Amino acid sequence: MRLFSRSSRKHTEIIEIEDRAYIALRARAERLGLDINQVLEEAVSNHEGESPENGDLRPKNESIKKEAEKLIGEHITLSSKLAALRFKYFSTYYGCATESMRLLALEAEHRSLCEATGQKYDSTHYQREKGLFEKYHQDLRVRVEKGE
Amino acid sequence: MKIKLIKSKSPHGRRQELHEIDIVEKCEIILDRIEHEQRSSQVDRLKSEIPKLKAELNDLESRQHEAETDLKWMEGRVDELVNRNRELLAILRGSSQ
Repeated sequence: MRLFSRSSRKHTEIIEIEDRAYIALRARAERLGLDINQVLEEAVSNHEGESPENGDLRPKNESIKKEAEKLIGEHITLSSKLAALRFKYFSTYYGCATESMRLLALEAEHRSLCEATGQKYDSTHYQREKGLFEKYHQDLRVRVEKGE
Repeated sequence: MKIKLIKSKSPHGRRQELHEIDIVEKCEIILDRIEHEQRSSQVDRLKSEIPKLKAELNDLESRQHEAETDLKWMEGRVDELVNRNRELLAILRGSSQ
């Protein structure tokens, strides 16, 4: 037998609840992040007013629980996909940053070799290479500054 | 389970019954209400987060596709330049001998 007592200036109330009912109530309250004593307190203090305003909420709770479970499943799937894709993207992204730097170095070497050998230097791709270097390094700089 | 709410002292010095209530039922009603509030709020939160996740996923897929295209082009261009520079180096070595 559990005892729950509530005192006020005018009267004292004592409630006795069977262990089994108390344990079930306490477990349910804990699942909802509540303290059973607060629930009991409210039940006693508001015993005249506490009635289901919108009818019995249990069927509604069952259907909303199913809806929440469905949404949680969708949320988990999307979050997992997003986490995997973020990993893949950053791997590709750093590959781009590295490759664009390597490309500019090779382009500079190519220009020097053209000059040294008297070959005509073709700068067709240079602007694109420079643009890619800036694109991936500027973004990288922003990410480093943000601490990402 | 029915319980009796009792005044400890009546005007005549006796215990006085006030009400008889089913405490378990009252608690269940309170818990039903709180569960309903919590679940409704959880559903609202999920409903607002899921479209954001979908949008983020679409955006990232598009950026991934773009980065893959860029990387493929750069890898091809690196190979091209490595070969071309090797040829030019051979010319340079040939001319210096």
